[in-house]
Amino acid sequence: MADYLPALMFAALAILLFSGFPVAWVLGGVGLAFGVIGILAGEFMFVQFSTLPSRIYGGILESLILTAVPTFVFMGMMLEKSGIARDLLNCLTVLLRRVPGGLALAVTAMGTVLAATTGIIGASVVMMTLLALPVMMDRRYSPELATGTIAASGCLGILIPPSIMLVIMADLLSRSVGTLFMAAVMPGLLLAGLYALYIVVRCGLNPALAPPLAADVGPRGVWPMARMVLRSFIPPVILIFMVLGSIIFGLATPTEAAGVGAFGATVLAVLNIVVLPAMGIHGVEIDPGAQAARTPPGARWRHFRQTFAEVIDNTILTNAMIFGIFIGATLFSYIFRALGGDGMIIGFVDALGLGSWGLLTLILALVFVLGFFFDWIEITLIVLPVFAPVIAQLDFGDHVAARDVVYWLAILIAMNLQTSFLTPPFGFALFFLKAVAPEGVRLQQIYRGIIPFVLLQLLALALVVAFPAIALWLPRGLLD
Amino acid sequence: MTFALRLSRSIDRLLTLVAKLGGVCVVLLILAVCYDVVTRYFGVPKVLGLTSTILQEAQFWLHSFAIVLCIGYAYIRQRHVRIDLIREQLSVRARYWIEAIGCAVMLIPYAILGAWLSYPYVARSFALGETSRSQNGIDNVWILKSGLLALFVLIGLAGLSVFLKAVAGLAGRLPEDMRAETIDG
Repeated sequence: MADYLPALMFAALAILLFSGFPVAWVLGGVGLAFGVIGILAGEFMFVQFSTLPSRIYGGILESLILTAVPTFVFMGMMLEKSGIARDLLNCLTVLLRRVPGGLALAVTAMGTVLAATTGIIGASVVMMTLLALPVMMDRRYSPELATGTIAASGCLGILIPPSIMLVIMADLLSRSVGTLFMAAVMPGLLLAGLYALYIVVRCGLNPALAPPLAADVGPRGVWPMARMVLRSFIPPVILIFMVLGSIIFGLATPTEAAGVGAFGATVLAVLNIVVLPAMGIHGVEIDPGAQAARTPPGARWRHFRQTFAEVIDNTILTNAMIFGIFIGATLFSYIFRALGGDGMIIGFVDALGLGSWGLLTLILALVFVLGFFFDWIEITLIVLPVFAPVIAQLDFGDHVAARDVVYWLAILIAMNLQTSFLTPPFGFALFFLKAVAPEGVRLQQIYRGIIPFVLLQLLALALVVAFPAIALWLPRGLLD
Repeated sequence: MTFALRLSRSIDRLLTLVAKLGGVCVVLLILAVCYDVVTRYFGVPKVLGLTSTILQEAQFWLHSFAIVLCIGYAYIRQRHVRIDLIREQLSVRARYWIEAIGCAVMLIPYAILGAWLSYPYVARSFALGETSRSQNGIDNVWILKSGLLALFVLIGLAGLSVFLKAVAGLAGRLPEDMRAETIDG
């Protein structure tokens, strides 16, 4: 009986999670219950509970690296709620108007540049859908192409730095956040590049899929165009490149870069909401309905204060949500291990007789299936600690240097999770998209539209598996 | 029942108030990071005896308080993740049952255990006069550790508040406008 406790514990977790009670509390409750069951079965002692506070304290409260999480969230929220993200998308749309599928390309570029925006899949897909889909439908884009582009680009955020998921993965695996960020850059750009290539080729072959922007939208002439770029494109792009650049080139820690980025985003928000409108420089509007929604001159500071309060509220709520699960998972995985869960997992994996490649496949397959039901927060916080001893045993000989295996694996997991979030019929990014899509967009269209992007992701995943240098070249080139 | 709902509303007001402090911590955290960066990399002198060590420790202190003061609040705002797959098919009544039972057998015991274990942990730190691990750091570490106590007390209160609302919902006494904050829709 006692040998099965860890397995029972996992089963109980899985079943109770589907009750729909908050994940953070289920983790804590199941952990506590199996601690008590363990005591009754003689497998666990009550005094062992008493290390819980020091685990939470040492693992979460005392961690300097995790302070980057709320500041990155703040930065993304500020760029979104202040309208900077919308201006950037509109600006990109006007700039790319002559390219086949210009609006779809603008969405992809925005997903790449603004990957920081919240980092929570549901939130970023919802944001991108609200910003881009009505305009795309208005331009008579094919619903399949439009929704596929939005869902795929919205999910880039978990891979492309500054991904909050990578911060937490690095923390859990005791690796450097900066190095993991660097390892994610090329695979992220590879994915974005594949999406862009697909959009250009497909729309070039069949222009009916993506009709161009109406002729009267956006500025004409060199000076108005330059002014639009200076206003809406340059500032956020510089901010994001400075934040990422300072981490990647080792000038600042992720914590410092995130904090300065949050401050910079606030300054940009003041410019965008108060200063520039006061100077009569407005952003480009491509959605005719939004023109009327401009803030009247007297209310601009109030608008900024409201935005700021909203950003703070959303930041503390998102941060609380992440760390609520983090704390629950700390109790859960501690009890799981104390009951012999590590031994059970290793024993199970050994019994399968898989080599390192087999294990890699197993882990990726498991993560893929879990991604149908859970966001990355639950998956990284529950599965990674459980599989950590197995991950430590992986050995790929000459294919990947031993010190790089963990970085490579983390990137593969991040890419794999994106695919999982997007794969019909379960992929939950698609449900978020459907929930906020305009009337008339059908789920079948979303399913059909995402398939090419899922295939591109599988291609990119296969490439990074076959050529680890895609991920590891940048960190090794810069660090060695 | 009226009393129960009044109690629940008072708890919610307390949690909201405390979370505002958490929001202030986030703002201070951003300022602390920026101040540290500006003084360290750009040669601006530090004032008031603030060393880099103090500033960096202040960062995780502030983040810790932003976490512990807001997790309970996030529950009454229904921002904790749920797995909705089956839940979407359930009746409102079934969701009240799940919320009430979940709070009674999972969240509240978890909060009580956490608070009960945290108390001696904090008390020991206080009694020993535990100081920062690094020289020149922020001492009185017991204040930071007592964040754990605050965390578990606050999530316990949030659990009690939602429990009361869910029971009122089962009794058909929950005002319609409080339904969303009890079972998220």
